[in-house]
Amino acid sequence: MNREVDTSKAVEIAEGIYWVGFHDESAGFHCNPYVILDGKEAVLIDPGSIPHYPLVLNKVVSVVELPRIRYIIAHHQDPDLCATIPKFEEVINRPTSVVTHTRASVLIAHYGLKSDFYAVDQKDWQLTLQSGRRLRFIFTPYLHFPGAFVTYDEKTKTLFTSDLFGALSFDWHLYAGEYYIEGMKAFHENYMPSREILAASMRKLKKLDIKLIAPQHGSLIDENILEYIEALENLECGDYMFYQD
Amino acid sequence: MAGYKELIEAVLRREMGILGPEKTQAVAREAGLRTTDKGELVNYAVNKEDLGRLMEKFNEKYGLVTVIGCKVALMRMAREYKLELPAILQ
Repeated sequence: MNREVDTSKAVEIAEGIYWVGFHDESAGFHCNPYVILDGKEAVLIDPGSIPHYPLVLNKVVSVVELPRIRYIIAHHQDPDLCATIPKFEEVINRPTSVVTHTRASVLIAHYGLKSDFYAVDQKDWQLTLQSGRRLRFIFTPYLHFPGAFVTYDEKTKTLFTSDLFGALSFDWHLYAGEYYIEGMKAFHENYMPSREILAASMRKLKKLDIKLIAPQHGSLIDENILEYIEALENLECGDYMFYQD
Repeated sequence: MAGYKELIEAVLRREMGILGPEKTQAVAREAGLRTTDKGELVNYAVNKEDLGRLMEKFNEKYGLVTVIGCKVALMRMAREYKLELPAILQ
């Protein structure tokens, strides 16, 4: 059964964490930006693509005064999550740091950013906000970029997973429903390189105490989390083996 | 020995995740297949042409995303079962 949520507005998905995406009924591939509010600071996560910018901006300003945004997390360099960073820099109008992996930063620089980079691989894979709240970064290499990582918010036990746990879905709901796992498999089979690589990262994620998975594509997962992790741990993905000749 | 029935049911399960159950079952009916609510085939005597017609229907109505969403899994199954795939899945 799918839960009905008013996605025309920003949706609080955990204490002080907001989904600020939108429901594009024609798309089979939804993008999910998020905002974390923490005292005087805010963190914008995977802000999105150029066509989505006006809608995402409206939702962001509905939950936070823009100058509070101190960090923008970019889990990798793709345009569906990074292209609006220069636009957000303009309206935030104060120094921000783009939090990413060094491997991604050399590519993200081509969007023409003003911000400095906070390279997670050079910062002990964590970021501590002014309040003491800690965001931990877990390296998920080659899923699907060599510098890919996910972000774990210790306070709410929310895991922001970028492309991991995303899904192909024309039947989108904010929260994963009965058939989500099949759309999730479809996405991973096509975008992730191999079972060995995917399983290695899933084993890392199994060690975390996770209440909510918040992917950049697809739907939020807040029930049966271990089932989804194990589905990916055991998934044969990648099609390179079919084209060897 | 598994056959095209298993491949077609794998497609139907997958499309329930991508398109949702109502659209998936409507396409299956248009392709001449009878299914249960869970996407299990009622007609057992299916073949490569039935699979091809089903995939062509998904492509025609909802685009290639619905085809690539099944393709990797189907290629793997076809290799395991030693079955030929229709052109749209090759």
